[in-house]
Amino acid sequence: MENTPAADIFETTRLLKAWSEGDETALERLVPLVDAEMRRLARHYLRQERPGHILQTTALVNEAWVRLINWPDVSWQNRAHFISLAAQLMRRVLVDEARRRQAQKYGADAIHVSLANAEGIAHGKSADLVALDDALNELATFDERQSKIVEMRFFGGLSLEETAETLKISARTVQREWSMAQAWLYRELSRGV
Amino acid sequence: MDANRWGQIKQIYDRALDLSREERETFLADACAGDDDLRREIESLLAAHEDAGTFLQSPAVEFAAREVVAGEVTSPAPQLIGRELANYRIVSLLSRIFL
Repeated sequence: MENTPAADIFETTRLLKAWSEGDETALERLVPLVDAEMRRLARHYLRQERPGHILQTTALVNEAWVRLINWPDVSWQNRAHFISLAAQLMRRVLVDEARRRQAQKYGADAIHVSLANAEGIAHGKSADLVALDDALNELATFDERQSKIVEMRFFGGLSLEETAETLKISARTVQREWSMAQAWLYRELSRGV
Repeated sequence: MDANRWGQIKQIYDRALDLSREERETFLADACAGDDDLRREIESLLAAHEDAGTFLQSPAVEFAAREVVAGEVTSPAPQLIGRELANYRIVSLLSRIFL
């Protein structure tokens, strides 16, 4: 697989820093860069996939960030913040992608019609990330930490332990918050069917 | 949802999770003491917890990656549609043959 051009790595690192300092326009420029890298990696990983083997998504996500961010440039104090931003960015990229697919499939008017399909998400068939994204925004209005945990685990691909470390809380707390958020989201998305 | 209300729900929900079905009944009746809305909310979350199974257990990237790759295979080659070749104009993709 060809390498990510060095210029892109420095550009994404610079943009992520700018975004973390509150520059919202940096986000608009980050999304296509990450999107392109994810597509390239997805193709690469799926080509290697053999029947009976599950897609190594953690490896895929980790590789994306290794390739996109010039880590030596990021100080240790900023690492947790960066990881949290990366999960947020991944959410944005994947939800935008899902929104485009829905528009292609049903026409632009249907975006709001296709609300929830929790069963579909559960089985990984119909990825209604758009509905999930809306529900997560709502969850954040009354429990920001739970919403963040879902963002890190589901969109960022972080393990329980990694999430706990990044948020500086115990793995047990992450587990309990995650489980409650999962129940709430499942109920909210099932209602829309 | 109000954040304070959610906090109250969380506290009771968390404790109820550790109890058996029979213990839950008594506990909820006591902890929600006359607040029927609160009790309904917690019971519905406990039920959702039971049903949720593997919901959200595989990271989003997994099916996103599959959809991206599948989409690239099945969508018509956009660079050809609308092009004219000799006396013909390509209007759409009829089918795709894998060799």
